[in-house]
Amino acid sequence: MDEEGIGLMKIAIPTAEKSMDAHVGDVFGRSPVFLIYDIESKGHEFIENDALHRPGGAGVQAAQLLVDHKVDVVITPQCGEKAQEVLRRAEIRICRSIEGSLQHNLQACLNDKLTDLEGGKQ
Amino acid sequence: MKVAVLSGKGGTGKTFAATNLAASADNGVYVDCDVEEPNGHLFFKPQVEYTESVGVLVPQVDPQKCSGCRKCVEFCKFNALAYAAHTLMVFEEMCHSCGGCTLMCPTGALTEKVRAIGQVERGYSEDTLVLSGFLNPGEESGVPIIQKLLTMIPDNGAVTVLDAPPGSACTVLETIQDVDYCILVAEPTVFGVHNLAVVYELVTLFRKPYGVIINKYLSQDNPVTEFCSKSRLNIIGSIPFEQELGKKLADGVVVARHNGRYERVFKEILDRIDEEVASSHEAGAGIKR
Repeated sequence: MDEEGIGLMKIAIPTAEKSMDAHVGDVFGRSPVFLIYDIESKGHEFIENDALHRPGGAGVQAAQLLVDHKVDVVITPQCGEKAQEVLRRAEIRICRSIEGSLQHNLQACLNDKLTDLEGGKQ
Repeated sequence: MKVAVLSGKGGTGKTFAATNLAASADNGVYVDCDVEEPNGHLFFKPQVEYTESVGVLVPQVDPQKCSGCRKCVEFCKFNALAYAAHTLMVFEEMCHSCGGCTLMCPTGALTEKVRAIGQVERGYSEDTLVLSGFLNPGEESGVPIIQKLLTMIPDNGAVTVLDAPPGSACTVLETIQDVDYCILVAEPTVFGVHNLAVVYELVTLFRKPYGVIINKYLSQDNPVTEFCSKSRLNIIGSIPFEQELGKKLADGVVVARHNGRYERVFKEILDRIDEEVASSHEAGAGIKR
């Protein structure tokens, strides 16, 4: 990420509201919505996460959703082990989110200010 | 005669009651269905003569045959499968063994294999046959192990006591489905009433004959006795709250084998259950649950 934008196309962030001013959601697998931001076109969309209502395996399903949307980076406060396994298999980078809005987190990511989320939960 | 011993929470005295009841019967059978925390064997210390691994079926992938169609991923309601970077990933511990993914696979890339989740043991402790199930730590459900245990019960009419898991989850339903009688063990406290109500609801739902044993009994004036008389639950025995008992338990002793007074308490309970089961069979002929 030291060279802006190279090999980096789409960023996903869990959130509860469909607004760039909304905060990053507290959870990954059961996040109601994901923001998907395209760095090249600077466009964004909010996608619904059906995994929200699943009795189990929400993390894996949410990760699959992001893999299928060809995301390159996920910014999240936490991510379960199995979801991480799916994301990492697809070579998706997982960054730890910071305080503030989705916009703020996107900017921090683009400026390479975010750290990698390590290990399992939290 | 098959009798299950239940309670709404752990630590009320299920294993205490179940081990002593089984030991008080001639050639009794004890079945430890509390497969997450099996501890009846600590009291019986059986000579184990047979062990068998218990497993469940999970899918395995032949990557050469997988076309990446993802029919299996879409089919699995438990998200035990994912497809990323041209690789089908299997999360075995999330699989519920329905086998649906292998049916959906158009290229035969998915087959089933056995994944061990625990084991069962059979052994003798004096004249008591002891059957125990052990679920490996971290596994989600002990039901397959309980199902295996139930097939190991000899069909000879011996008094069989099933030590159920605490609470009223699937594992308890599995344990009691074919028993003739349910014993509900309760402590004589307000909390004990709450826990008793949980299993009382379950056994009435299953229309099983049942009776209550009050453990750590001090006096007639207690919330469980009150609850039982108000809701018309039959109390079939009381185990006194005694230091001596606590000591023996801590030493891992089956007290009924060493103390005539306690043996009589448990034999009387067994006799009562025997009568009730006989009369309920007469009354309930033709009325199955």
